[in-house]
Amino acid sequence: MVLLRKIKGEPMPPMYQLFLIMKLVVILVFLNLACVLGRGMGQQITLKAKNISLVEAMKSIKKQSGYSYFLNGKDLANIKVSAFIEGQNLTAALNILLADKPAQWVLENETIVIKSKPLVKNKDRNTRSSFVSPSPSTTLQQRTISGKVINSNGEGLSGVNVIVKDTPIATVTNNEGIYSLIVPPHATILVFTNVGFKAQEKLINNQIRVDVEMEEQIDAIDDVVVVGFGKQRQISVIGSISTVSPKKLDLPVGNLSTSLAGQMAGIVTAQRTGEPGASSDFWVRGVTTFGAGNRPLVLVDGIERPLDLVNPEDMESISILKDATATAVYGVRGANGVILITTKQGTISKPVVTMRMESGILSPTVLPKMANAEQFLNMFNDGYESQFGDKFYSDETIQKYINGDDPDIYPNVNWTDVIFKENSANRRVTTNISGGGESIQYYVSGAYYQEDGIYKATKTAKYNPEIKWDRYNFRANVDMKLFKGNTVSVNLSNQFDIKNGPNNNTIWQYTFQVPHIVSPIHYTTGELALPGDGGVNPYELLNERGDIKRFTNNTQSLVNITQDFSEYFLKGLQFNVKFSWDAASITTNTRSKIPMGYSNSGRNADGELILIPRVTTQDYLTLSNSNTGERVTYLESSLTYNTDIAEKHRIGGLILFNRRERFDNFPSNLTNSFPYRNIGLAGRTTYSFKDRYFTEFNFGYNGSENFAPDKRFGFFPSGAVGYVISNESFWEGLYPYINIFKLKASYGLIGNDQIRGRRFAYNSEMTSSTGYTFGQGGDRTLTGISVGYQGNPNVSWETAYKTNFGVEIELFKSLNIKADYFDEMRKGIFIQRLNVPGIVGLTVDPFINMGELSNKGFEVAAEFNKSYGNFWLSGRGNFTYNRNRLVYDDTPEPLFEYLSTQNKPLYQQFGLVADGFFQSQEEIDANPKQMFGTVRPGDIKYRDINGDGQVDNNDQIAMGRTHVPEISYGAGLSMGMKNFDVSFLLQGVDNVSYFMGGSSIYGFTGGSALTGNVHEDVALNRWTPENPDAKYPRISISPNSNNNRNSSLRQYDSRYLRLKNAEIGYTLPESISKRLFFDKCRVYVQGVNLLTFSPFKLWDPEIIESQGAQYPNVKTVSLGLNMKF
Amino acid sequence: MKNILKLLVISCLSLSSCNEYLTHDVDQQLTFEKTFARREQTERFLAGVYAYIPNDMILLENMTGNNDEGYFMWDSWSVKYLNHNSGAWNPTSTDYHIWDNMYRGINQATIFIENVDRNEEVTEQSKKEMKAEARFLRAYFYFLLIRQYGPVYLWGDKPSELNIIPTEVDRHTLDECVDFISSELRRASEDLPLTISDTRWYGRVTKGAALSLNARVLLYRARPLFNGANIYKGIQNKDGNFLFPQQYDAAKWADAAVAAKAVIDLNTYNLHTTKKTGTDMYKAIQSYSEVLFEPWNEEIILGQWVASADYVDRRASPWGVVSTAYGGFSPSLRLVDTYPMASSGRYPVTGYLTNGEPIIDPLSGYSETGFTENFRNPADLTVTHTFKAHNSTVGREARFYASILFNGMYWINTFKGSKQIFFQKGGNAQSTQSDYNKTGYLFRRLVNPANDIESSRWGKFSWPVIRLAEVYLNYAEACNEQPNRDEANALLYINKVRERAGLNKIEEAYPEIIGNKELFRTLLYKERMIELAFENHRYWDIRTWMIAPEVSNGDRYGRNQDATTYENSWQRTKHYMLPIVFRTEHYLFPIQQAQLNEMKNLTQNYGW
Repeated sequence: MVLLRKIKGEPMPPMYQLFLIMKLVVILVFLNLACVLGRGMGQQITLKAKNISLVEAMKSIKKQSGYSYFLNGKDLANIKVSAFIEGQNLTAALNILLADKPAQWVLENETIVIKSKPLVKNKDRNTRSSFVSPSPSTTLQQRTISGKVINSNGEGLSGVNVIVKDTPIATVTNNEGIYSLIVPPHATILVFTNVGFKAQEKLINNQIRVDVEMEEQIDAIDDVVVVGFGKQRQISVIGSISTVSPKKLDLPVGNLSTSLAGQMAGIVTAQRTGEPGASSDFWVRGVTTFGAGNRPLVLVDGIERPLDLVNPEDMESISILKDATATAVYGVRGANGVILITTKQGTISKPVVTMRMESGILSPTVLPKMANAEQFLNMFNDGYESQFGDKFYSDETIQKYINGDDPDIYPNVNWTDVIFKENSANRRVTTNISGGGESIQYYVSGAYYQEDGIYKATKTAKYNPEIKWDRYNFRANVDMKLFKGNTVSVNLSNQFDIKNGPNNNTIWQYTFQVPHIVSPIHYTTGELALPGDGGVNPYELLNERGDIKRFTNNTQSLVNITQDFSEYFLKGLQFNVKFSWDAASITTNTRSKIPMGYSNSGRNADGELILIPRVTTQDYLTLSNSNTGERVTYLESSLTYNTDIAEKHRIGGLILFNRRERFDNFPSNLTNSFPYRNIGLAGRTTYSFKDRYFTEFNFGYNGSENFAPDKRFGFFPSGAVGYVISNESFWEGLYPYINIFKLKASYGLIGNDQIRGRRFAYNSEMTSSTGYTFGQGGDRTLTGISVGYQGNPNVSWETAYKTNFGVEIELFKSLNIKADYFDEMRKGIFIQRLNVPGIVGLTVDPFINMGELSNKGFEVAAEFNKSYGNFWLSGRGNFTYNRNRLVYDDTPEPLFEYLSTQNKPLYQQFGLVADGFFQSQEEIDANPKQMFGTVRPGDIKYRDINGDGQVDNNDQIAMGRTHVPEISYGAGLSMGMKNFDVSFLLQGVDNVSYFMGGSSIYGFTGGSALTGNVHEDVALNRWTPENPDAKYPRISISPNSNNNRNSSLRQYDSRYLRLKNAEIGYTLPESISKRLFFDKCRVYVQGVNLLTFSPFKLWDPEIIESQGAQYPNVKTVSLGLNMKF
Repeated sequence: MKNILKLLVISCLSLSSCNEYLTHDVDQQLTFEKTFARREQTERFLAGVYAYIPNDMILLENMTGNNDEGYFMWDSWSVKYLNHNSGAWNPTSTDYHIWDNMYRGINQATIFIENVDRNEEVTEQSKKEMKAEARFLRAYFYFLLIRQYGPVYLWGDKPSELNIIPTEVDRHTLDECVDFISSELRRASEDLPLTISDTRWYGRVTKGAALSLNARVLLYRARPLFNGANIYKGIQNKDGNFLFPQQYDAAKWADAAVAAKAVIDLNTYNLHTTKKTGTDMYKAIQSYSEVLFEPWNEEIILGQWVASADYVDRRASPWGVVSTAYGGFSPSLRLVDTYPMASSGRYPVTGYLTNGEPIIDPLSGYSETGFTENFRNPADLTVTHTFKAHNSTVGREARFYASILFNGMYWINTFKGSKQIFFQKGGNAQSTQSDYNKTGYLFRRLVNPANDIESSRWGKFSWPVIRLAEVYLNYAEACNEQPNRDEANALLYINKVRERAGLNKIEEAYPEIIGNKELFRTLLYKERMIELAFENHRYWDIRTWMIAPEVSNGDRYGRNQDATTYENSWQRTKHYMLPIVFRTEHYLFPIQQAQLNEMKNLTQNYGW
């Protein structure tokens, strides 16, 4: 553009030039991409047309003038214009074109911007009087009816279709919105339709003049919902689908899965670690099977791809498909729900550049607090004394540890402080450019994200054990129109990330478990210190063991060709073919070393430390390397047909074929070297009548390689009905209050062919087994061969029977409520038979379709939007409850009914019922014998559930919940006033529990006292004779099999409520941003996980780790800048 | 339009041949047919069956620490070991269970026996031998089950059935089990070669192995636990048959004697003696040591190759002194007390007072007090270190010095310099925390002095699963007990074992033994304890002899390593020693709850 101007020799304001150069530099630097659109040189405009859309007209003007144009508002594009312009300049031409149209234009930054005219409420409507009212006629005869069609501003609307209902008689309004047509004698109704407006029906009665004010259908475009293989109008969706604006998911976090929590009804998430680069777990409507793969299918632009590889900025839409109808066309892959994401496409406009920069500070939500030296020493002494009758550490020794006079022999190191920083940082830069001309549109984006970990690592020249995660995203979506009705889209995307970290994955565990007194970091003489006898120095684990670098590279490519046959032989018929090829590779380079370090055995006579060197050392780095990778190709072709008959009957059809092939690039065995293949045929028919009654029928016909040839194909039908009562004529009275009232129901079957850890379930396999060594020198080792898995030719599909009832209500045009009840029954879940007696001697238990799981629940989502002048407000909330019940899993019937896992939630937790602590030997003797080891005062007293006089594992009962929450909810509010906007989202889960355990809870289980430190809470609140009403039992120095069991005392309620996200933004007034040469500029502060409320305090409740020894979840506060130019 | 047509054609093509698309050529994998068509694969299948032989070296940790021959120092971890010792185990505990794994081995062996004849690449003779090997292995797995659980379910010669009706399953009787095992072993012995002539196949089962195992099985059957023990009387399986014999039958000893004699009569094996030169004591020490360290020596009847001895090397060498060591495999003080005196040939300790003090046989020459200055370890010929030795360690027989590392001794793997070892508090081999050596001894017999274990040269074993000394002791025991007592052979064969250790004849040490069946039995128990120490026999011996309540129950004693001086570290103490618990039900393992769940009518063992 700059170049063109120069050629034209027109002077440019210096600031303008500078700005344009800046733009270019930004584009080149950040994306290394330039896209210059061709543009005509003609200044004289000629346009002769009648009733063409404004878009068409502008395309022509653009061609002639060289100016890009931008239609500010979707409805503008469809305004019909007529013009007779010959050789006018641009200004004149546009003025003529837009005369008496509800639009005005302005030239901004080389672009013709067309906007709606401001509202003029009291416009003179005298035009009506210019009509001469004909005298009324009561005879039934052919007559002429005329009238004017206006919009809400009173302006005449051109191009409106006027149809005599149930006849082919029709006309179109002229430039002034006036029409006239001859109607047959029995005609009673006129129908007025125009794109962008609600269709209206008017009774003719005896009138000869029918005026109509058309109501704009503002939401017409927003209300399209992305459904499986296409889009549907919101009103016609009768499957269960949730959506959220992708903007809401654009949080300053590394992975999209982390942003999903609390955003949509029906999705259950859990973030189990806050380590940079780690994903969250997510399920649709909870866990629905205990077979393989309970995760939803994620489709990006129709292709199965990992969710976390999507740059949130690139998302155009995200939908969650939940019930059988919505997911049916995905066949077997969609049994656990589907997450559909589409990425942005270019639009016809000048290049628009958007940039966002963000920089944040991260800190752990909760960092566990461990016992200090004194607490530990007292605890150890108490345990020692109860076992051996005397104290291990004298008071004098304890004092030496505490006062720290001799840190070499009596160290006192707070490992948490040594290993962790208080906070770390992340930053993100994203930029995208979109635009395009008539035949090519593009959307190109790039993003960079970086997050540091909270390890306090020492970087050396040799290597860097810091946790650091860098990710680069790139995407180019290009749409080309080759000929009429044809679109070829090419979507290319690449993600590249590097994760750096220390060469040790036990740092958390040991930082918590190593008592403060075990070892200094370094001796005062400078040597690296090590505790003897298998102890560890966490500092050494973090800083001195080398590093791990993991490179991940994903390349995703898609060609999508759509051909609309409307113009050729059948209106509404469309053919689509997609082909994608994706490749992913992960390389992990581990560089390791073992440094020299010294334990000590006290001081010699001269007072010098006696150092004992570590024996096996390796003071140089060595490399080990591992690779994983896969490549996937996918081919899909489909034919869709959509038509309507007289605007009453809408009929749609889809038939689709797909085939997917995945190769493991580094197969671990021969079986895995065969490509993984899926094949499927799917279909959908929809029929609706007058937008009131809807029906839909879907089927999937799928083939699976896992089954014997005669069991290979499965047919899975589903159907749904919907009734929009609010579209009935009798609803009219209620319409102002309840705008939409829709009831829907669906039922269907979905299959699943995934079998955990097993392919080709029908096929018997020999396995390699442990070998045996023969020969004089043991030089003949034969790897064993055993009969392994014994194939089951009868294995076939696991089937989900899904039922869904839903209601959708819109009140006062501002509050939208959706509620669904769902009931899913999984049958034929693949299980390994568990009650084949051990005496049969199978090496692998056979698989069989026997498991059954039921899952029921409901979900509600509400959304509220309202604006009052300058102030706007929008709120949303969602609530999901699901309870599953394991119906059958082939576990042998236990001794006592209550021990059975069947008819209880999947993953139901079981434990002993703790009745406090034994306070005396007499109490122990008086109670049922506890069979887990010698019991002393201070140990947990358990209840003898079955009354057999002894407490053993048969006294465990179902208690608490499971680690997957049954209830997930979220609620958010956004509001804005003038240039300010504020929003926040609360998110929480409930009905979830977990067991504490492990040595930092039990003390002294995993090893010796060298790794026996516990949480401060445990050290302070343990049972001692002086503290009989304790929270935790006594500490013993050898493993205490009585106390170290799952019991009601060890179970905790891990529900929580978080302030998941909060954001304050300020958009610079246009006057300022314009001066800075931005179209839009917004500054914001955003926080994630700012507050967490939970009854459980020791560590982040979302982390499922029995002693909290896991990288904690983090809270983030970010400052960001968002620019558009 | 042309393009559109092209697209349609392409997509139509993609619709074709769906079933083929999903058919992978899985037959290219190794199939059952291929396994039994080729010699190599068939041999590997058999090797897979061999692999079910449990590794006795690992079992040392399992069973040796759980009875009176060892006391492992790990008091604060190794939970299963602690639970087992303290009696904190029950049918729901999963530790040490072998049930499922042994039945897997049995299943694979049966599949092999059923199918090996399909192979046309293998000679008929080889097939016969291989089938006999599988038969031996299957019998061995059944034996291991019986040793642990008592009688079990027998599949016999028929393959296992996936669709067996679990409620119809119960255990067979002990006699049915032993009869089956014994007949299988005799049948195998007919087809097995006397020796393995091809050195590349050392380690395969021979006729001698089958006959020796048969001798062991029949000896176990004759011992009190399986021969009319009161506690097991009256237990019936679901068919109403008594699981255990209802009365004592002395004739079973005679069967055991005949079986053991059959091995001896093969004249194929000899007690190993060293080729090294030196004093008689030194040679005796070497002879006994080399039973473990000389691969495939003439004493080994069935050996199991262990390519790296690091598992035992680390655990049986002193922590803190040997850099690669974990320490911890301590012999119990009871075991240390049992080794005879070299000169008198008498076992020094005849019993214990309730306070743990030993009752010393005054004729033995043993002294529990005082020290000998400048003592030299008779096992240490190359380096002449002398040290101040406690008198309890002076004048003992060869196997003592081959086996026991005691406080104050020098470590004789001298590759990294000479090291004297002190276990007491503040000593160089004493850990600072609770996991320290508590008896004051380590079982050094497992560490070959010729290996530089600090450079990770661990050495290799042809671990004796069965060796001739055991057969001799089996024979001696059976001869002593059989109705027609054969004293001459009983003495002859116990003396052969003693002689290799440099000891006099037992009737010279104990003239009163002649005609004294009970004394012979007492001394044989002692002899067996030391000769086969840490070879995974003692745990089962004290149970089948039913002496566990006396020897492996209650307080345990060690030398006081909590003492701060070397001299004081020799006091006997139970301080810091965890007691061992033996209850009547502990004679046999319980049938696990998992099995009872699977098979509702399975009969549980006494007391569980």
